[in-house]
Amino acid sequence: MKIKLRLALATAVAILPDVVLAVGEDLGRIQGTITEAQSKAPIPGAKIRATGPSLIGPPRESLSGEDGSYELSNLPHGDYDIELSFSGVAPLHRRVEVRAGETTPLDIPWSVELTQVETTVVELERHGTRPEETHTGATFSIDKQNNLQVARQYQSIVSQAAGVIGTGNSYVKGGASRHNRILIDGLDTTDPVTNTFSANLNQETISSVQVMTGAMQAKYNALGSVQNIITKSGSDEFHLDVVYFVRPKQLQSFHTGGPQFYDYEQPYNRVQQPPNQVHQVGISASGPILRHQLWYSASFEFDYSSRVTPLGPPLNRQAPNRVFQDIYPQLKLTWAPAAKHRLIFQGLGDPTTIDYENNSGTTANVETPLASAGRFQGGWKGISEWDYFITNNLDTKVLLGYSFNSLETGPQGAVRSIDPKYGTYDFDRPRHVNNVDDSRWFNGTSRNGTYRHRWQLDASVTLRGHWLKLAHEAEVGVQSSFLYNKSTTRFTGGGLRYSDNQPGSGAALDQGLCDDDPFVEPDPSRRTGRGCNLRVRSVDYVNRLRGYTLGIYAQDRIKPVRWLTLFPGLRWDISQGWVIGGEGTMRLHGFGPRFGAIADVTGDQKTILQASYGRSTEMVYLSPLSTVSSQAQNISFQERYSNGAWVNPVQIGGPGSAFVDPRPGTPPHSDEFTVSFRRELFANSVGIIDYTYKRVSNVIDAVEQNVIYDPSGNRVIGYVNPAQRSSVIVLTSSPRNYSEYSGIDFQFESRFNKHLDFTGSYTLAWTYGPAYDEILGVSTTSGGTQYWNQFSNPRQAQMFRGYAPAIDRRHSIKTQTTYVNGPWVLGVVVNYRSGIAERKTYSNTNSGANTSRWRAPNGLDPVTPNDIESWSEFRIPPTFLVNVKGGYDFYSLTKLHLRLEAGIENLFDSFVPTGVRNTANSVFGQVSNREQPFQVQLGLRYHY
Amino acid sequence: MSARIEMVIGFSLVNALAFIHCNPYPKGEFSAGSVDPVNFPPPYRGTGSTRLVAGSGTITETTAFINGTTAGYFSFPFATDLNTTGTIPDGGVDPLQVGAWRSPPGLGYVFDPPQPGTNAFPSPAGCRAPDNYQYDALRDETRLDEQGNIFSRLPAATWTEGSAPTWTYNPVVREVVVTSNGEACQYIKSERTLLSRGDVVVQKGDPLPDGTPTAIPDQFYLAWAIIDPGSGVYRVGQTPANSTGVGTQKWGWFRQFLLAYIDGGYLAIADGKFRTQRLFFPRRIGAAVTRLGAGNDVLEFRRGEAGYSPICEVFSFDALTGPVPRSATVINAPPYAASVRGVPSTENAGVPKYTFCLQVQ
Repeated sequence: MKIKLRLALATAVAILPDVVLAVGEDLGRIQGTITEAQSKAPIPGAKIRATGPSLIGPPRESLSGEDGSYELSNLPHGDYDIELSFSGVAPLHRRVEVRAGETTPLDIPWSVELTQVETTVVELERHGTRPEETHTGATFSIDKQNNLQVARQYQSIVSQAAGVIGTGNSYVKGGASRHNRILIDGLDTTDPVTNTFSANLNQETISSVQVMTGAMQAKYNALGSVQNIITKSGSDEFHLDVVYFVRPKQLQSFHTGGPQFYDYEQPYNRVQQPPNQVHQVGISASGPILRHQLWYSASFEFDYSSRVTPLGPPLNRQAPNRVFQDIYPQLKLTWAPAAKHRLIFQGLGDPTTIDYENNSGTTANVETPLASAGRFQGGWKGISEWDYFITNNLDTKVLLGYSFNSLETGPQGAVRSIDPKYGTYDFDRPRHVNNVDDSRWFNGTSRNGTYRHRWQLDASVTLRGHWLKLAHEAEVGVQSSFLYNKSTTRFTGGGLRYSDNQPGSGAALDQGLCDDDPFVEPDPSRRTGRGCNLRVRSVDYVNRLRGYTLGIYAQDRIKPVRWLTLFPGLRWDISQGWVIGGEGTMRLHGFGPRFGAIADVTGDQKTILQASYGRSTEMVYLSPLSTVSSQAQNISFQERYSNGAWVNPVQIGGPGSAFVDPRPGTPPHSDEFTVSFRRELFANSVGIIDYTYKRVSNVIDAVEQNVIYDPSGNRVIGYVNPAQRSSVIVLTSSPRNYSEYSGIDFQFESRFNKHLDFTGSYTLAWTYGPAYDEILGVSTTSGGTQYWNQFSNPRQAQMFRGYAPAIDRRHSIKTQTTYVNGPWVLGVVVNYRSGIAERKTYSNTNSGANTSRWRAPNGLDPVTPNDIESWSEFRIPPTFLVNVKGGYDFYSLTKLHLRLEAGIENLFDSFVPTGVRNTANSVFGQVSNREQPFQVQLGLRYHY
Repeated sequence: MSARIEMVIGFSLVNALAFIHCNPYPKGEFSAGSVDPVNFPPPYRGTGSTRLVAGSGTITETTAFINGTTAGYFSFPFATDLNTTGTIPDGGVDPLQVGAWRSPPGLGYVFDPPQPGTNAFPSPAGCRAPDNYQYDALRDETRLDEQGNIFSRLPAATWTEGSAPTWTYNPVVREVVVTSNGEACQYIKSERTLLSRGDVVVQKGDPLPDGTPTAIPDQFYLAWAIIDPGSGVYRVGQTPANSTGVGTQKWGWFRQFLLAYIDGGYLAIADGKFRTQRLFFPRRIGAAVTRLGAGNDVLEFRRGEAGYSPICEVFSFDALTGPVPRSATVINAPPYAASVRGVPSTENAGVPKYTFCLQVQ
């Protein structure tokens, strides 16, 4: 028997195609051991064959080795039928789920008796212990997400992973919002300027979303997370999906809550529900162009949403709706010209327009339509991939991509168009801000454009084999990018804008606007200076920036013994950025060692213990340079009105007001320790406990160089350079700028039966330290930027210690449950989070420099003045949200897979605050925002 | 027990140990920032102050003359529970009677006074500065080559709707001498830490029933007016346009909060009462009516002179003809002496009989 098996092994190896791959970002693999059921002896030479609807090309096959082990690599995510067979013996059948970037363990006990049992239905198995991957996180299948009421954007899917905080640019395990890398099919598409996501994607494009939250191998370099969006690829089967979703106003709840936490509905409030509505329509198709050789996947989505804040003070007139319109086209071609080659070409776009972009927030009631903002954003991406499977044990991958995205913001009348009923827009008319009630008039501040380009070229080689008596899977690679950005700023009003009325003057709305402006008072003889307070003069400017990054890595997967896998790795990165035609260069480089060890404790891949250490480094992105370049060119003069004239011009910005540290030394980096315990608790169910400690250090921030405060930190009393009477910052990475994360994730995932699927996590975490985000800055009315961090006022530095505002939220529970039975679909999403750390700010007397100060560290409210024993934690309340979706497939009636869906967000119409006013004044502690109320989304989905 | 099971237990222990969470907040004797003056009585926040905005007021020295030369004093009223505009004593409380105030003065822990009762400020400091230390106004929260004196009480007023604020605070502390012993400058920021340390020398009293240590003050009182640390303090001739408002005030600590105070020196005591000096102001200059603090005040004694006191008894006089007198000696002689009036009098309505008049060095 043994000789027969070995013969079969030799024969099979000779006939197998050379398609053995390392697990890639967008691919998974199945790995296991074939043993004799009774004796547990390994069985070599067994033939394992995988087929599945997601597979591109012919079925994947492998043979078990001397020790009974086998591996099926290069499998797109999806469900696979596994056939275990020997020549002349009836095969065994299993079915497993494979996820992108993960190894699915599948040990198969074999006996002749088992093959004699006739199997008619093969149950899908799920084995989630990930015995061959160190990274923490989750992979979300879009098929499951489509059964859940989750916003139709990948960012919302990412937020469902344990350890991820917030949507959009999320905070992941101590990393800042600029510390994530956003990949599309493994290629880095992170915005070259902001280091945040650079595009929105058509949901119908996505196949799965992989979120790696830590313990990553050397090929990844992120202080936060790696979010890899895996798009659909065509296969030999044709598929067509058409979807339509609508959220009509009539199916949305509406509340008129009062300002206090305990204020609920206002029964006599006559504010009408604004006409909010959302429409989304999408279509996607995939299939073969040439069977077994050339496949396509194409999709298109159009979104329209219209929202507005109900009318309120100070303007008390209903603002125009914020109208968001986008189109998301995509085309992907996959070509396998030969068995050893695979080529992928993909193009994506996301052009978007936003009218009155701030009118779904509190700004709606302070900005008149002429002063409102509009926006155009979006861009195009091209991604190509070449996979060359040279031999069984050697393969290469080359990724080449180009990404362009632009952002044009400014007055609605300039960037978009404005309805004449709101007045005639004039770009040259100055903007006025009434300081008494914060109402804004006539124009926006400036029209801004930013045009960003990123070229990315990655190449890697994977080599597998036995060296030094150990099994290896080694990978070396290089990742490079070239970044370029051009931004323009044109000021409205010929560079002039007014900040009117000293607070307390009593004048309100447009009656109090400065009449020294000829547009307010055309007759010079009638200009009295009424309402005049502050005038700012600014000059248009243009920025051009460029940079590069280069990373080289080597990583290995070593198996010294059967139950132990080691993951050593090392990467080195270097990067540089320049201001073209100006001063400002930043250069960063650093090493990132990684090491992980995984032990298969029980020897059956069902009990996994892992420990990992890794350092990631942050390389240059253009935002720090943009900050410096903008501040150096954005020359503004702030003048006060006094006795009939504008006097005491104070220059803000201009040359010499900002620098970038050319060689800041140690780059921003994270040191992370992870311990993970994973156990298959029962069939198709796994429990995971991950503990992570991460320290992110040397975070880039602005360090004040010029402003001298009084010893109490309340007043500016001087300048290091008396000739420069404003802030001078240097952007650098200081070891004193750090954040720490300590958190434990308890995760449970189960496919209880073929109908019921559950994924849930509970996270207990602390995030603290002064650098809870990177380059903390806020725009000011005078045009500059204020940097409120521990370095902006040295006498306030200690107040930046403590729990990270808006990030530290201690307890978090996330569950996703789907029940699919015949035509019926039910999905439930539950999200609970405990209170979010806030911070209380106090006003000071400064006008040009920092206008806020603190009296207790972040996350604390100094309840009783001057008594540290009264400092108590300051958090907004917990939230508990339940979303439900139900659907019915009318196939039995129509013979078409036509599914009608109804989704409910905020099932219990939770009305709890999600924001509070945190400035110490008469409205401190009042609610600034509440949870989006109950709303229904209706949908129709056709699938072929 | 197999090696792998041992490994599981080992990793679990490491995991559990690592999960012990650290308190992220500053620990020990950290600086809690500057005191919040929100409840300070208005005179101690300065002119033009907004209660919710620290540093919004200015504290300006009142121009005065002593023996014909220009001088100045910082004026602070007595507590509102001490009636200093009517007949004194009022209700049995004499503002000058040592120990008679309903709210007794707090303690001032004075580090290394060279001459208690005469000079409270050491030079150089008795504490230990960092090696090669040089003060950097941009970077250093406080000077690390000095030790700020420590206070046990802050000014506080009570606000009632429809009424002017009231307070019991007087700008006086009882001195407790502290002898340094090489401790790091500015390390000690609170009374509690000061009294719990073994290295510095303080005269301690019996602990309170709850175990709180106490100190025994000496017989000296200091006129130290605690002010809004953000308020600019301007000497005669200084304005916000030509001065930072920093330099006149001194810096100390209250329960780890940085505070500022104006040093008016020691109060003199005689026969169980605080001794005063006289403060004159003209009621009229020629035909024009004038008032206290209008720039023509005259004090008897300069800081450092034997008769100096930071508490003034207020008198008014008429300067109907000739130059306005700039000396107490001149005022006490004809023709002005006949018009000198004390308080209370119908000609000084609303003027306090006593006021704090702190001269700084």
